[in-house]
Amino acid sequence: MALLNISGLTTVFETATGPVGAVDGASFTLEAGEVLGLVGESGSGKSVSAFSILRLINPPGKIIGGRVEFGGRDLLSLAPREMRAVRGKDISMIFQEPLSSLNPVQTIGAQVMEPLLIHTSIGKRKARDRALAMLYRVGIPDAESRFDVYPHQLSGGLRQRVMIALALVCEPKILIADEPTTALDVTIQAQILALLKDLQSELGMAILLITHDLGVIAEVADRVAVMYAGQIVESAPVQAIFDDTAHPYAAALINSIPDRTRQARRLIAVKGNIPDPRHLPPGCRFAPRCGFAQPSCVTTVQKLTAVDPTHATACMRVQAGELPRPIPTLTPELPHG
Amino acid sequence: MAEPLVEIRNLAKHFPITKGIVRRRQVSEIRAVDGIDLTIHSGETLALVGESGCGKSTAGRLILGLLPPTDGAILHQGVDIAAMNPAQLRQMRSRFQMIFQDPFGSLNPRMTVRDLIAEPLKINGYGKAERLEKADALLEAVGLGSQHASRYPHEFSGGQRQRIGIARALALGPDLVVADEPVSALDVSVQAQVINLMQDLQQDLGLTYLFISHDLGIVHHIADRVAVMYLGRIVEVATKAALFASPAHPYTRALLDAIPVSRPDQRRPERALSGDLPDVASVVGGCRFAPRCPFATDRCRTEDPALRDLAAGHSVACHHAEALRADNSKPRI
Amino acid sequence: MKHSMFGKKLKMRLGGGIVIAVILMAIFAPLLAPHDPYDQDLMSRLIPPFWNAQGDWTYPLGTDNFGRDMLSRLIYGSRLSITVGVAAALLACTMGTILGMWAGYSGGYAETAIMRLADAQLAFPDILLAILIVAAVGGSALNLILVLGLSGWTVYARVMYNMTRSIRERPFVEAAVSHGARSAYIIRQHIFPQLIPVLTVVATLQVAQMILQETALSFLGLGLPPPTATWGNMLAEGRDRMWAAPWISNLSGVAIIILVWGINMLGNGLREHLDPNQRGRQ
Repeated sequence: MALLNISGLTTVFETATGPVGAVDGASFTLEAGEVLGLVGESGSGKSVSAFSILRLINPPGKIIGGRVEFGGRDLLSLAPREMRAVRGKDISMIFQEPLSSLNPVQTIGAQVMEPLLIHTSIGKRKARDRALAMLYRVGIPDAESRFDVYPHQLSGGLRQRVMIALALVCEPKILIADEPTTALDVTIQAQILALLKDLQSELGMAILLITHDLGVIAEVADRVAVMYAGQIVESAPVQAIFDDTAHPYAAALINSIPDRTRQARRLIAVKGNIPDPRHLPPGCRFAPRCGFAQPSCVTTVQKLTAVDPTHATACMRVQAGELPRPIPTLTPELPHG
Repeated sequence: MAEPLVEIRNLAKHFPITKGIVRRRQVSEIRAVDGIDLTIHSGETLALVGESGCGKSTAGRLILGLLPPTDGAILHQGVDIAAMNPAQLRQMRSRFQMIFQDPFGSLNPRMTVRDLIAEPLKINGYGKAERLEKADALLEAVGLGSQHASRYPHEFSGGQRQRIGIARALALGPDLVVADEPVSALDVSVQAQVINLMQDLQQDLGLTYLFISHDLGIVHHIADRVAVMYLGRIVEVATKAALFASPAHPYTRALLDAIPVSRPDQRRPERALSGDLPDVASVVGGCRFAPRCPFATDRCRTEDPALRDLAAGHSVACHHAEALRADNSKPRI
Repeated sequence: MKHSMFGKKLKMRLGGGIVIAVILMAIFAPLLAPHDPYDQDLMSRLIPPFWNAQGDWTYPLGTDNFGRDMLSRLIYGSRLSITVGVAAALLACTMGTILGMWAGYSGGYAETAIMRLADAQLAFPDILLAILIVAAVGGSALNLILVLGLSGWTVYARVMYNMTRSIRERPFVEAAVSHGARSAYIIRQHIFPQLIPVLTVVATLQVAQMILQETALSFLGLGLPPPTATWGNMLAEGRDRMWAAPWISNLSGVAIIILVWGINMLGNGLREHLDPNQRGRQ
């Protein structure tokens, strides 16, 4: 039994021209103690999926279908009061931009204490002790004297550490991390990833890591789900995503990272652009950009289907055995001139 | 080695921090760029890398004459643009152009693509027929096709907009193109398209690139030489091969170690650099990297290391570079 | 979404309709007015409007204390309100935009001088300033325009200063500089066009403010001297006979309210229409 079981999650945004799909029938599970990487580019629906799990979607956004099972209950059908008891206690979240996610007029200590005061009945003194311990644990140097400073007085890296302390102070079972290192410099990014890995093995929580950066995935994820245009197109253990790639989009994403071990004159680019969510192809949404697409790909609706016990793909050509795994690298076109 | 296209000598840009409403007094200054020397050779791609606030974008703007330097010389083919008045500088501008980071903000939303690309030509007094002809040719050259010419920027994706920005930068036929994080705002699958286009154009037109980036993966792909900046100073300059294989400055080494691996089977024991970037305004004496450097000694904390030649084409600003380089014996990717 | 767009259109149509009607009325006043507005007839003093039992269709809206036709005076009165309102707003707009753009674009001493002057003037109530000046130089249409225009520039200067500063920092301006553009080109091509929508809205709303201020000055006896037919003068004339002949002040008050309401509605409609956030969704 998975810790978190998401099935058929569908979220749309109402616009003047009708609803536009952001997440379309996404299904995935999160096991206790694992790091699941949810990877995709802008508009893939990865962040909307994460926000939908905690029901943090505001109008004009709306969750219109699916189930989010956690601890034997469907989070999508809980009363608002019950949902609030889950947020920050069982499942908490950290965001890309720590400065805008922290309250600018409250000290960091008070903010880290807050979840404890909301979700537990321990007194203020005890809450303060635990908050302080958590701040030390996430690597805030001299946390005692920084307890009463305001977020703007800290650097970006320290603010992200405060966010992590705030998210973990109630020792949740699940941490949702939405692009936690994207806004940070590369040396700070490495520190934060290392910290998340340490805390995970220490506290035993599961992490749903939302990112566009396959490097981050390669660094910390156990399993990966790849999203494209609102749908999950491949899910597999991290090694299999890289070595046994079963969807042309996932392959394209992996190939477009400049690889320092492979010196090529040209990068392997994906042609075209991410589709407009208002004008999606009727069948496979990647088909117009795919080097392996056949006419039937564009018209046939494709479903995420297991090809191995732990490996699922939405590509019908892979499912039918017409394409090898890993998806071969297409020879890049020769430079003109 | 090719002849130098641009030579920068002791270039500095200090931004004053002022206080007071009626009579502003300067209370301190931010030394965004603090005395750098750099040579850009004709036809090469020189990457300028560093983290946010290190002064790499400011350096790029100084080289383009978009900011007046506090000190130093910027020689474009031997002519110092730092000593020019605004009118003389305008005459020079067609020789060096810029590709901007932000594909949304760098295109005026009220102008059509054709007008955007033809704007540099209009400013420099080209006739209308010639402008339109050139704009359409440039659109083709960046792979957009002239059927897009009368559309507005908001109708394009980020990658397409960046192609428009590139076409505009090439309109005046520059020798040097400064690209300030040209793909960092783009999706991963689109980044490669733009990088490939930039490389094709460089080959076809014999361009010289100053490629400003924080992404060492892309820098490794596109650069011939790399200069690493830290808090307003250049700490290391080397050919790409030398820099990635045997970095001589501890900061370069930390940067390389911090790049996420490209495959899960390359995961390695963490060697994350400790500490945060210090406040640029607060730097006093000694090596700027010393507070974060695992190899720092008393000498580092008191004596500011100068950029010196370590080997042919490899300069570094570290007192202990030789020892550190010898430590690179273990295999690196 | 749907009904707010309808509201925007309705606002612009209704507001625009009122404004156009009043402008036409001002232009064609001699053709529309049934009587000479200055023709006194002491035999027909204080005749109430037609809906009153003692009303008389010769004077549909009644007469004032000197037996002058109210309808004709109201029609003629619109001339001064419209002229002063529009001209003063234009003067304030031109002056404020130039100064605001100058301060925002060049920075330095010009910025300090212009914006501190604007602050100083904002600290002083416009109407008080206008009263002082008009009391000193006397009331005439030109003086009213000058006084109201010169006191109204600060609104534009502030808005244009802030907008110019933010546009100046946008990358496409830097791009133009990198192509060798002069300041004049950048202001003409890249800065001013971005200001026009906001300028239109602020100027429209300010016409209403100017009209109210002109009326206030006239009411206080600082506008055009009697017997000139202006809405403010009529309001003041009716003040003494509020109980005996309430229609004199009521009618001129209603005229002012309708015009100001129409202009404000037009301005708000324009603002919604030109709002880039709204436009992007269409």
